[in-house]
Amino acid sequence: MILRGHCVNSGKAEGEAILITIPFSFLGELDAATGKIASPFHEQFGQSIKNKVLVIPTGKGSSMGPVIGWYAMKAGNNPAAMVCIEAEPIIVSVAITANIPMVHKLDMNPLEVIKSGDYVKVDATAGIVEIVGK
Amino acid sequence: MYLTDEEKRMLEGEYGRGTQKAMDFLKRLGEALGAEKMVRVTSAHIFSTVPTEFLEQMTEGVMKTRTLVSLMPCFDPIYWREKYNIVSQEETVGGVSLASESDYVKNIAIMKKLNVLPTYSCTPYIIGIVPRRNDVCVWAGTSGQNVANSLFGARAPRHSVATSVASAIAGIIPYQGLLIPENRYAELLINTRELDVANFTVTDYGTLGYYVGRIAGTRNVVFDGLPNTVTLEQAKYLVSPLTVDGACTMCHIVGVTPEAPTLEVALGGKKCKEVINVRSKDLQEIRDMFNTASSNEVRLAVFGCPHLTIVELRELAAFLKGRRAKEGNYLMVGVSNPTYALAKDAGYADIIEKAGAIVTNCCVSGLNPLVHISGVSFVASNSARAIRFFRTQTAGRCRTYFADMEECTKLVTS
Repeated sequence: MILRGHCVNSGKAEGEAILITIPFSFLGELDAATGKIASPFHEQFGQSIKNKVLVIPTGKGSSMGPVIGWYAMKAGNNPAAMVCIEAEPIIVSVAITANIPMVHKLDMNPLEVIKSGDYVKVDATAGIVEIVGK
Repeated sequence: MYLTDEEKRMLEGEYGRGTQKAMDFLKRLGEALGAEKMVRVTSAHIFSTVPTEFLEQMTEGVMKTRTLVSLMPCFDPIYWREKYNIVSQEETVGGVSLASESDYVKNIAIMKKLNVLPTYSCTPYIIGIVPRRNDVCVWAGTSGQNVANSLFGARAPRHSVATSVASAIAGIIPYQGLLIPENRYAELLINTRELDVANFTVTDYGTLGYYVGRIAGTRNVVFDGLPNTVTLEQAKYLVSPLTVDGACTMCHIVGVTPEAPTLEVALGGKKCKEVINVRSKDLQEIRDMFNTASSNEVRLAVFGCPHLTIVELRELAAFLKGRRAKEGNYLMVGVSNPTYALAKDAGYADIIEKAGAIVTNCCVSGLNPLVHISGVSFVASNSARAIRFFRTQTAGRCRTYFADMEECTKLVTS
């Protein structure tokens, strides 16, 4: 299945999808040193987003997000790509600062058609997300 | 995206690599957010505790900023080591080391070279960087953004610390979001008539702000039913937790904030699609979530998230007169240097310091040295924003007690 949308930050990447159905904040929710969800209050506490295609509704929270994204990039612990319904400005700046390919405003709701564990190819420059399968 | 000739020259590298990098960053940002053009920035408020390599790239060849630039609080590792023997090593906030001494020195040298105003505060609006209605403010720190929009009617779009650095260098920002008048109207109506708002304390305001922020997501909100006597301090504690677990950056209060003389005006003449009637039970649930320590476990009381106003310092001095921090207990007060200078002249600072308080212009929540480096784990505060940050940014190690200033002071002093 192919979804078409808009580029947030250019680049190409692929990997296993991980869905987080509530808005995501890099500060407080991502442990840059491990690539795992750091907040024990998060339903997916302890799960890794490293090298995965992170599928989220949008961003939230602190303006420090890109700082965490930068250190996670240096440690090689960022998601391979991000797909979201509609990006808010802070998650956009995380993608740019940490050089993560990212798309949004797709023709279908990615949280409904992509499942955690699906293999997903993201061509952010072209605004295309391809769900290859399990 | 439309770029002026000057913006094109920046992008082509005519003004050096740092300006080019900043311009490229802002163009990508603008295109992602669907902006048609850039606009001039009145004031950029930036955060110096960003990765040194990032800052060096953004400022390479830049001799001066293209707008008025001021500074957020920062963690000064040399000061904390020399004065309190607190040494930042492997300790982390969200898996990131607080700035090393060498990075700190490099970052501050860059700030000095660029003549950035050394405000060191999350409350620039009370120390001379007063946002006027329709000013374009690109401010790091989501609480300041919210205050500038909501309480001053300035245009402060939601942006990150990285974006504010780029904007300081290039002097522009994509025209989108809260810069556009139509995007400033309320989308979510918060009815507080079932609450005992006449007797609301700052912790009640903070609880309400946190609760609403989680529901609002990225939407603008309007509070209807709050008293028109809401003080700057109360409003500060209401709006600052809106972005802790949310992204709400515009908060109208009917009869109080400049863009909400009436509910109709705040809503832009449209009918509101969603109304939330807040009940005291909803706020009690948040308080229960915030109170994970019992009062007798508290070892540290923290005030100043956001930095205290002179009115709060006066109050604090009244509570602390003749008291002293108990053995092994700490009191930490976050305040900007200019406000501290006034408190010193007024005699408040001496009372507070005689009580054993650590008074600092550091960020006392997200970068609190006692919590994040020394590992103090039982903390009381009157700030909902700080309480939630202590909990989430220590991965739950820190247990918290949420109470008004007077009660917090009594827990750690005698």
